[in-house]
Amino acid sequence: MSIFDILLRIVLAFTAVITFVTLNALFLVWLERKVSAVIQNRMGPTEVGPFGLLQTFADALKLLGKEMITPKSVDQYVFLLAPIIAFLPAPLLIAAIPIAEGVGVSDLNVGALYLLAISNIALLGILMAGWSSNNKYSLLGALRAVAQNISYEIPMLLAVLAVVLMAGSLKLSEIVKAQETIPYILLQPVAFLIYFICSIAESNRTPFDLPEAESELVAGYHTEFTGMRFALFFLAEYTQVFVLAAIVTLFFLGGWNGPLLHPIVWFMLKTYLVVFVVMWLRWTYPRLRSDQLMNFNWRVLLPLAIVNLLVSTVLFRGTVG
Amino acid sequence: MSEFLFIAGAALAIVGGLLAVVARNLFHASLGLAMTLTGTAGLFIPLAGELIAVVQILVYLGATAISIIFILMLSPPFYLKRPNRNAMKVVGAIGVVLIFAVPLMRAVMSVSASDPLNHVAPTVNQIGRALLTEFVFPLKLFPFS
Repeated sequence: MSIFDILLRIVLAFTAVITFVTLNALFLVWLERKVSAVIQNRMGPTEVGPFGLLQTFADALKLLGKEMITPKSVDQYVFLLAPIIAFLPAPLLIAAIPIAEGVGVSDLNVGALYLLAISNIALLGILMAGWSSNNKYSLLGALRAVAQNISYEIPMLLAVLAVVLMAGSLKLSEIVKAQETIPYILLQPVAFLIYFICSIAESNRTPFDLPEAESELVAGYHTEFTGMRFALFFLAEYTQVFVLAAIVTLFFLGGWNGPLLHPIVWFMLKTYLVVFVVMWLRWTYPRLRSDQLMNFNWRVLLPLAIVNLLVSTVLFRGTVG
Repeated sequence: MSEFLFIAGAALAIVGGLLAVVARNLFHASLGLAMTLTGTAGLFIPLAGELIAVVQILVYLGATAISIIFILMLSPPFYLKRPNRNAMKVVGAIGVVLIFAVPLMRAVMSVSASDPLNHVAPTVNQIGRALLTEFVFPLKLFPFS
């Protein structure tokens, strides 16, 4: 492969990924507003476009046109870098997710670990944002985000480990292939629940939205950010929701396996169904208290995850080559 | 391609390392540390050690976030006056660097030059098997060092 081919591939992959990240976020914001409206007996956006579909495009244009304010006493360089670091994992994660057999930018050998590792980088962006803003609410939000993410990562990894143990591979396409007959949600229901709860906590959404609790912390770590810098945090958050749903689909719902329909359609259907459930949860449950959050993780999820891993090791020993 | 990855990773590691040592603000220093760890993770990719690269990011970047929290608890806010540089500390730092650099350089020089970039790529399976059979003792010993 010549250097020109490599460059062309990089440019194409990059364009595809960034386009998907943007369109997905625009669609999910619209969906979130519609879902919350239905749950609260309202109409949601209706004015711009059919069913208000173009409302988020208009909002995005407005955000692009807004002034990017840098407050006087912030830590300049870290403040500039923070939204970029927080956004960085979004395209990197999308690039590693296969949406059907052989369709996707890259299907890595260590795909499962890669997804969990790269989503960690966003945490550093949140910390940088909270600290550089020179605002006590931002800092508190960032500290809560770190405490929450670091704690919930442990049961999450243990749950994923149980799945990897059964599939015998870290490669996402092989994990999906192992579920051709039975999806892992039936064989590993406990791991599914643990993973689902932990990944909602990792994405800082209700009922785990303490880092940006608007009634306590203004908006948490992104209080001081305006215009496109704020939009980067927003894009990152909605991409994370998509990624968590895609991982649930790949690990537990059988990925793109399904009768009749095209594999890509199956994958997207399952993923957006999980996204809908995540939104449903957000508009149904109240926010947890900080001590409840920690107790639930260390006293319930972690022991459960360890027991689940032990039991799956005993039950499925010998099935892995 | 692998040369490019190697140069990018090495540059990131060196710049991050310098930032970690030279920055007078502890928060910036720890961000430099995070940069170095990311750079060294990048170095494993052209060496066909994706597993180690990914584990390094997973474990060490998370650990940096924790270290930053300790820094936030134990250091004064950045808008206060920073302490001046201390000449003795700079001399001490150079001394420490020399103590470690000289044996390291000797060790590197004594290894005959081969091209690790072109070796056969081991799979994740092989690495995992090796870590839990042949190298299980060093693996268990390593966290204590």
